Amino acid sequence: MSTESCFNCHETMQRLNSYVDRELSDFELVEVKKHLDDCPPCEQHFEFNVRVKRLVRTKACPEKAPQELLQQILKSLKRA
Amino acid sequence: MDILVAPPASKRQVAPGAWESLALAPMTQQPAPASVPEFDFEAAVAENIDALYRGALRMTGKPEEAEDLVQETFLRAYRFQHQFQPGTNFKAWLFKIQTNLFRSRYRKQYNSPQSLDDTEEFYLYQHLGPDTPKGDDPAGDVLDKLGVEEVRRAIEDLPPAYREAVLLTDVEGFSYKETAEILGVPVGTVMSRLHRGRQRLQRSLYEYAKESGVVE
Repeated sequence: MSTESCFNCHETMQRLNSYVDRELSDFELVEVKKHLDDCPPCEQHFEFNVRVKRLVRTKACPEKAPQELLQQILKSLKRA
Repeated sequence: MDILVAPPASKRQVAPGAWESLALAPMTQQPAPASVPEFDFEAAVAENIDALYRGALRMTGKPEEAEDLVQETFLRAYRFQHQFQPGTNFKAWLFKIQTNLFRSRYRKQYNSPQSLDDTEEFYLYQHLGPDTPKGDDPAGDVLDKLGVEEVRRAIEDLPPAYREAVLLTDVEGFSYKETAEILGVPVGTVMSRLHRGRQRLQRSLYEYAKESGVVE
């Protein structure tokens, strides 16, 4: 049976970035998760932040290095 | 170099479903090159060139300058490869070299006074998300409609110190510890730059969403 989280909304929001980034300690991670499970507004915040992170990950840098650059670097390494 | 110690997979597993779609783990969990004598530098160039290039492009904003920065990064890495510690993360090491190069070449731009004012918490979400009828997800819908151009501009609007923290963690998937090591700052600084960077990013995304007609 799950117990109530020891974090309130404010304490959870303070840790939201680290939670999204999977950087919390085991204890904090469990407590934040418990709070999110019981608090739809905070859970919505979490979902939104995950989506923003995914947006950055997928759309911020779609470019690939030009093929000529790779050839140029490999050539200059041979000369180095 | 302990930047390269990834948290055990078991510690990353307590996660609700939303996390899974992020698939953030691969970079830190990829095996590092085995040892220097057997290290295939050319293969490592091919493997990491896209990551370094996209990072360089978002930091310089210009393809020619990004190419030049990447080329110089690999040349330095090649010259100093004896300093690389086998068993550690080669990609993180390359990013550290590139970050230092960027800072020395673009010192003026990097250090120019930026308005680092804080913006409202969860800006985009606050303007689009809450108080909507159950079942609606207008904030999420807006995110889906934002294109590469809006996101790229929002990233490039960030002051360099925030931009590099966001790119390293969100795009490249480095941990806070690895990002701190690459940037040469404490983990707490990475966290605060990320926090502020993401706040500003949300504000810019909202502005570009309005500009492009995605929101009224």
